[in-house]
Amino acid sequence: MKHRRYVLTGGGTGGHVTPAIALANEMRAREAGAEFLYIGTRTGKEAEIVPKYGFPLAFVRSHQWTFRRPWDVVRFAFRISLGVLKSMGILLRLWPDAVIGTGGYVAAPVVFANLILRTFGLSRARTIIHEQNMTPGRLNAAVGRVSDLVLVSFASTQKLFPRAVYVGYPVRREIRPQDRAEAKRRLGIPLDAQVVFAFGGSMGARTINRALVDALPHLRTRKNLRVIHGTGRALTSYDPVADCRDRLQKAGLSQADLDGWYEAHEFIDRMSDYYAAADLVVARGGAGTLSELCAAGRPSLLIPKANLPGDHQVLNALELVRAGAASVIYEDVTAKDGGTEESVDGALLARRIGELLDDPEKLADMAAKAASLAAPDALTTTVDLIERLVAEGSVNLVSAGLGANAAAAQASVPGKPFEFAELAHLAGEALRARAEQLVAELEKRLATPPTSHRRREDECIALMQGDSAFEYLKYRAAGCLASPSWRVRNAGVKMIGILRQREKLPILLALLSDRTPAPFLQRVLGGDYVQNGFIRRNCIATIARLGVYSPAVHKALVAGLADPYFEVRSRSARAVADLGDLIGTDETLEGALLKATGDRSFEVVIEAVRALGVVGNSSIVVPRLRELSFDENWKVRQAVVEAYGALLARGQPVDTDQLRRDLDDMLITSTGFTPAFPLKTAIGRLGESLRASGGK
Amino acid sequence: MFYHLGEALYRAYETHLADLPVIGPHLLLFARLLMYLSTRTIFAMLTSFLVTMVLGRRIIRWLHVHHMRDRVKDFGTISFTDKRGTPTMGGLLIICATLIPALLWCDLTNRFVHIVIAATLWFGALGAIDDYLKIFPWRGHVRGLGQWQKLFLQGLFGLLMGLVYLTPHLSPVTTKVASAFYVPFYKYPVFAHLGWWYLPFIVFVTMLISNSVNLTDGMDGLAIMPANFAVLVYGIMAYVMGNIVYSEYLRYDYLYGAGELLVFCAALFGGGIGFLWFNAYPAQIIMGDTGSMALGGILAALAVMLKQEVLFIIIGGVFVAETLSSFIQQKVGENFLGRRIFYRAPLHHQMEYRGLAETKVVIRLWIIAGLLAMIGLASMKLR
Repeated sequence: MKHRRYVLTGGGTGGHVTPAIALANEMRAREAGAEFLYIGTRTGKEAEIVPKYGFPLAFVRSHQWTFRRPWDVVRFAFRISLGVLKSMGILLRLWPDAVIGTGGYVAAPVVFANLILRTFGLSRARTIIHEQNMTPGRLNAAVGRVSDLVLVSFASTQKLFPRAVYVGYPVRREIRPQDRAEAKRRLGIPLDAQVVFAFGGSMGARTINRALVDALPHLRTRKNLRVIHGTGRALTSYDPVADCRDRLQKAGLSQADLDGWYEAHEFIDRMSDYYAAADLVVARGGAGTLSELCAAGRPSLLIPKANLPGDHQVLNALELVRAGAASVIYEDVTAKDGGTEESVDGALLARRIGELLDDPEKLADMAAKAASLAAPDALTTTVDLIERLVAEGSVNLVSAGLGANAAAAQASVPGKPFEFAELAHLAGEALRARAEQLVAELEKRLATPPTSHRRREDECIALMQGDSAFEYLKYRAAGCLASPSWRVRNAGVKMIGILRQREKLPILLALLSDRTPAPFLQRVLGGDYVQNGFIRRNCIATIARLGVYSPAVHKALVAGLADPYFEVRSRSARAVADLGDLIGTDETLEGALLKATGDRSFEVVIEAVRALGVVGNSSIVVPRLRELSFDENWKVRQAVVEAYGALLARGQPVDTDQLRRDLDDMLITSTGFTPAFPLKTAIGRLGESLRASGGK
Repeated sequence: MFYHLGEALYRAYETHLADLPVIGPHLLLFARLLMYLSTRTIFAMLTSFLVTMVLGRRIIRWLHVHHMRDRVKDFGTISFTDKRGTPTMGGLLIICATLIPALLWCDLTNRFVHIVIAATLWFGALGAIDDYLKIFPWRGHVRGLGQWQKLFLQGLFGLLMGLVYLTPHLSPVTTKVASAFYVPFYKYPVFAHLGWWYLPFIVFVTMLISNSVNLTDGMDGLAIMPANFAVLVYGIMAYVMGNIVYSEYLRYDYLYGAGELLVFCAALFGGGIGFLWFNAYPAQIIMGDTGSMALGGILAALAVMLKQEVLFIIIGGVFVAETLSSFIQQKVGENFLGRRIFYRAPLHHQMEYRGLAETKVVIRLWIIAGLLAMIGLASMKLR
């Protein structure tokens, strides 16, 4: 029989290389004389990993689909074209039976080359794509439709491609459900201990490491707890061991405090034992990790890495959450020193761990659900399919792979699979608009008898609390705040208000007080700070919307009333009016508002006057109102009249005789008016009565 | 038409009608009357006003019946709820009221007239398509033509007009005149022999002017009067430049046949007045993109043909101010800096925001437009 030749490609990160190697190993084991060639880039992970397994490696050029500067587009086009040409050369020379791509920019040139050659009949190789994540990466999404076979790791992903088969993710053989007691004995853990196994992958994960260490003081008091922490090995960029040690020192935990219930390992050798022994696993959301968790059938608390391309770790994790196999904590993204920093609050992590450990029934349920998602035959099924495709030229997808299994898996998982995928593709203002829509729908479900505004707000917040869609949106909003683009930050600020995220108040206050100057060109044209006028104005608007008042908010409002941008000043004054009943009386604010009534911008004057009516003392406010009642602008005079009304409504002492005389003197000629069209009014009235009577 | 009739009558009289007993000399008088520029101007203006009166109500009803109603009047308007439902595409009325008298009273062999009628039709069609697509969107999402598509089509006309204007055989003026660039208040050309380098400038000016009128059309009666004033000033200038005595006296280049443009401008003026009859606040009809594009195109064509592009900054000052304020607020302020520069944009919204009612804003801008038109006329003498 002719020996088969296979081309494998994919890489950049390890997540694409591992499945390729797994497939290749399995195929090599089955077919003695098969030839393999791995095509990758010189700088990707594949350059290190592939030779270790004894596969020949060829190099081509490629480039990521990210453009920081306009020049990158040229570089991209150049590299990809060269890569495609070289790949075509390799394919023509090698004449393989199949090209198997596992995704990533590294696979792009090879897959494109094969597809191009196929259309001209110059290649007999089938294009096989393997997608590890819940939502396909850019390359796979692009070529998936024209490939001969798409192998997906999550059942829900099948719907996206015409020739997709759910095969699962090839997991190492040794990861499978094992006897828990036996595993605990092997690791030297007392049988009645509750084990939390936390790790961040072979390279460690800074967020998980730090969060876990921060959580330790809160977890100390638990009985029968055992924490096993896989910190990862030291790298040039990050030394997890030193990091954890420093943090432990800062937390004041000595070795003695931790002895007996906390152990840290640089490298976890026997993963299968640790999986089996664990009652709860804390891990990232990578496709490989999640597949192992399902293969081992263990419940997990996932902390997916935030804001990756396509947000794939978050979406993978959410798929497990949807199935009831895992719980998720989103990373909190904050802006720091020009970049972003992700973190998870240690106390929050401790609380979530505690909640889960206190509910062994739930843990058992999660474990069962995870096990049901497992695909133990992933590797064999995949290789079967590949071989059948190569041998027969096409595959009957209905009977292929885990078709029946997939249908069952699909049916058992509630909820729509792609609602998060849809949200994941939105960004900036589009995301904000969608969030607004969803919240509006939610508000419709609130109690219809009009209760107080505060109670409605609290109800709204409560309704959003448990909903995973809103939790996801809150995570995205937090991520937006740390974006380098001001438009995205602006959208994020608005979303904080829409989603009523009161806990984000400190970040808003930080944005408001951030006085980093804008670039020179912007300053020349009238700009002021990096956190530009719109952002500051929307911060104030959101603070007013959140309805929280504290000394920090007070300070922000006073500063806002003196801001260089007129809209910030006017919005601050309006915020004072909005938060009126929470503020009560305050001399500093009153003074600042009084000063604002002399502002050169009439918009600010109007808002300040209105706010004084709501929070001011009439003894101080009325003299100023009397001065302003001769203002040229009728809008100011209107605000003055309304302020009087507000003062009287609050029961403030006002000399009504003097007021009557002043109103007589006031110039009531105004250059503005609101038209009333009798025809339109009549139509409106009729329309109302029709609606009231239940008609359309 | 009547011009040609008059011409034919005059020639016929010269050849064999001179001997007719009583009506002979009267026929001559009558023929020459029809050929005089001044009479045709007045008659054109009156005809166009008459046309608007006759067609006005019918067109409004026709547009309303065919659902050509304005959806959202002006996105920045403060009281926008009152505007919806007003029939749009009133520009059709203006175009009809301009073209019918133009065809009747203009000398149709005149190249100037060809260009300006072409401008009317081209921009009118462009605006009509835009209006239609705003109400009945083609693919569901995009309302009206895209920004770049509009710019492209405007620029295309500018290109064609420039090509015709700069080609010696097709152009109504000599190449020496065509390639000179003038500035108001200054007698001599700033650049004398630009040749084909003038073309990009023509394209740019066309795009600029037609868009500026489009932006200004945001309130009832706002765009039509300043456009009328500008058209009138250009018409007078056309008359001056087409008259060998006056052009020499005022040191303008003599453009043979430019006087015909006065007839066209008078027709447009009359049509504008007639349109204002219906468009005054509260409007029964709005001109829509059909009207504003057409007016802009005509103004652009006039500016280019009479070499008075820069003068548009003065006599079309209202349009320029609106465009400038909108540009600064949007491109510099909102998009680049992330803050507002003015309270609102364009200019008429700024005035409205500061507390002026719509009617007051419109009339004040008319006053300003009138003053600027007079300054523009003064520029003819002060050189």
